[in-house]
Amino acid sequence: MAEGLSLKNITKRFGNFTALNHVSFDIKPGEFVTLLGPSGCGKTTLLRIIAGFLEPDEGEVWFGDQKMNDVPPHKRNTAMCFQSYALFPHKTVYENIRFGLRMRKVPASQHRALVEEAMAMVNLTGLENRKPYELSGGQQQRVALARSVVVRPNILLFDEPLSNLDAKLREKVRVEIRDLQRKLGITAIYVTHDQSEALAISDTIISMNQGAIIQKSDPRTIYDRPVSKFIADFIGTANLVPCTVTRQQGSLFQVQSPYGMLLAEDKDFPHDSGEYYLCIRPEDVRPVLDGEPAGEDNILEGVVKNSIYMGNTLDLFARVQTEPLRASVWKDYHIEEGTRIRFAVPRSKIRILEG
Amino acid sequence: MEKEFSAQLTRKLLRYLVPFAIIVILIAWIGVPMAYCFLWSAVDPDYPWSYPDPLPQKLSLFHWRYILENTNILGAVGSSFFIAGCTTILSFLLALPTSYALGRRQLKGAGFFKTLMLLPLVLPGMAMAIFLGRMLMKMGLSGTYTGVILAHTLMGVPYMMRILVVSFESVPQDLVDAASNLGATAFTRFAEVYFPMVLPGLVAGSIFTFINSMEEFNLTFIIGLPTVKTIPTVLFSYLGESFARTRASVVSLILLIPNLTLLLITERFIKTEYMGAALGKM
Ligand SMILES: Nc1ncnc2c1ncn2[C@@H]1O[C@H](COP(=O)(O)OP(=O)(O)OP(=O)(O)O)[C@@H](O)[C@H]1O
Ligand SMILES: [Mg+2]
Repeated sequence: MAEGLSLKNITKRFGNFTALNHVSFDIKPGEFVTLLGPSGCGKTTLLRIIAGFLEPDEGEVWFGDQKMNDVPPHKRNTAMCFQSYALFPHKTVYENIRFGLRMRKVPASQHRALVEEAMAMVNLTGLENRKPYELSGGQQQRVALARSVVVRPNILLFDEPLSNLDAKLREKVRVEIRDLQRKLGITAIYVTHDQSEALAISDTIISMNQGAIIQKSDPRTIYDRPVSKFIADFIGTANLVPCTVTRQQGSLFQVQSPYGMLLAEDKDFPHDSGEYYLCIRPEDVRPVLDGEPAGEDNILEGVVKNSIYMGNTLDLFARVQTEPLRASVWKDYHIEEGTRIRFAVPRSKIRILEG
Repeated sequence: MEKEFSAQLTRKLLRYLVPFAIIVILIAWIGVPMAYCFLWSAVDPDYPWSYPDPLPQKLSLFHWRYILENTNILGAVGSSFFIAGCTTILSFLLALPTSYALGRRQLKGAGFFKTLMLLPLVLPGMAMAIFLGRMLMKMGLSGTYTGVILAHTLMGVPYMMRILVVSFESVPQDLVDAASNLGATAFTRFAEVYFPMVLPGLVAGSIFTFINSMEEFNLTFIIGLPTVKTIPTVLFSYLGESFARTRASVVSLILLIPNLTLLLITERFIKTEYMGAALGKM
């Protein structure tokens, strides 16, 4: 059964270091939420508080309409996939995965089928009788993953569950996790460093920094309309430069920046003028060939310093005036290093952000 | 080519030389004295073994028979084992919960207690023995097995705790959390996570306590006499009264039996698998 989750004003200190600072959010039943943030920002700490291993110094944890602060971990019906794997070293792979089923009094007759299903899901079939120290790092991680999903809890907590897998396997397991979570309607909180993984897997992304939540939105919004320079920088790549902004009319702004004078259309920006940052995604920059009309788009003129063929795109590192500009363009362009070139950036693709 | 050959030669030499050296040292250190011990124990009293003879002229079991008939050495071996066994079990029962508390719970003053529990180890053995002997006499436990076992336990518990506290401390918190996360109660966490992980420490501590008790002289002597006799007290009184190399050899060889048994048990218990399990590959 899916269960929603609410955190209300959670604060956690270690000594006089504040690891979590008044964190609040709600998660709907069956929602897949990703916590995304730099190392040390408090993601694991937050999961540990939800699972009940740590007590918050302030604030409340609610599962559905029940307050959980005083409920011990073994009665919370969450299952966590640990960043450190935390496999029982003296138990075999099979016994590790079965542990939760035994503890939750699932009838013994179902154990084998459930364990085997979970093992197949993470490509572990055949390793039942190994001990954890006889497995590679990635295999250990998959055991940890299987051990958490096999119990089908109300809330699944994943702490970087795929960090040690190769790209192919990561993608396969990611899809399987998502399918299982959808099929069973489990609420999931998923921690990752990997922003593309976060964008691919989540209903909602919660972006954190230094123990606080910066933005909570769906993947498209967080990528296209980041609320701060930090998020624009952390999720995806971005050209970020300081600028002076003046509102012209409606949502049209005049932006004085190192790239020159630009026009930007930003419906979310609340201020009329001041010193801010402008953000241009590399994939929103397009080369304008000679004679090609640019329409209303901003034109930035520069020199290509590096041109790197990535297979799916061509990445250009150019210099506009004195400022570096990164552009990710169609792979079939042949643009040599040293070329003088004009770039077009649509007004609506320039975003103005607070620092 | 040449270099490679000589490197290979060195490796080969090392591979054979090192074990060879170890064997030579072992023979010199243990084998030779043991052989002498055997020979001495089997010297016939009518044909004494003296200087220029490389070997005794005649061998007999005279001294063996004498010792077995005239002293209760087998009884002493039995009571040594009994006392050591009881001491180990009692120390185990006392040390397990206290070590858990000291190693896992954030107790106030845990550091102080950890130091305190080492105190019996630093006091001079004789002083401890006299002081404890007094106390146990007042309690009417002088000359009883209970008294000796209690005294040995007092000495054994600190060793046991020292090892166990460290074992408990080194169980990763994530493992315990994982167990409770999956639904394990406190009891199951202890039985299925802590216990297997501190088992090597437990075995090591038990063996240590057992051997310590087997070898304890001061306490046994002061508290146990005249009723309770263990191997060391018998050996000591024997050697003290009339030192004879032949008979001492017999006694030493008899005393070897329990030690060898213990060694074999230890060997079976401390398997590398346990160690691997405890350290894991986290
Ligand atoms: N038991 C503790 N005592 C003191 N400080 C702690 C403790 N646990 C965590 N911290 C600190 O709290 C902060 C958040 O830690 P946390 O493990 O939640 O980070 P994280 O976001 O999971 O990082 P990572 O992505 O590297 O896993 C870190 O700065 C860490 O040093
Ligand atoms: Mg973490």
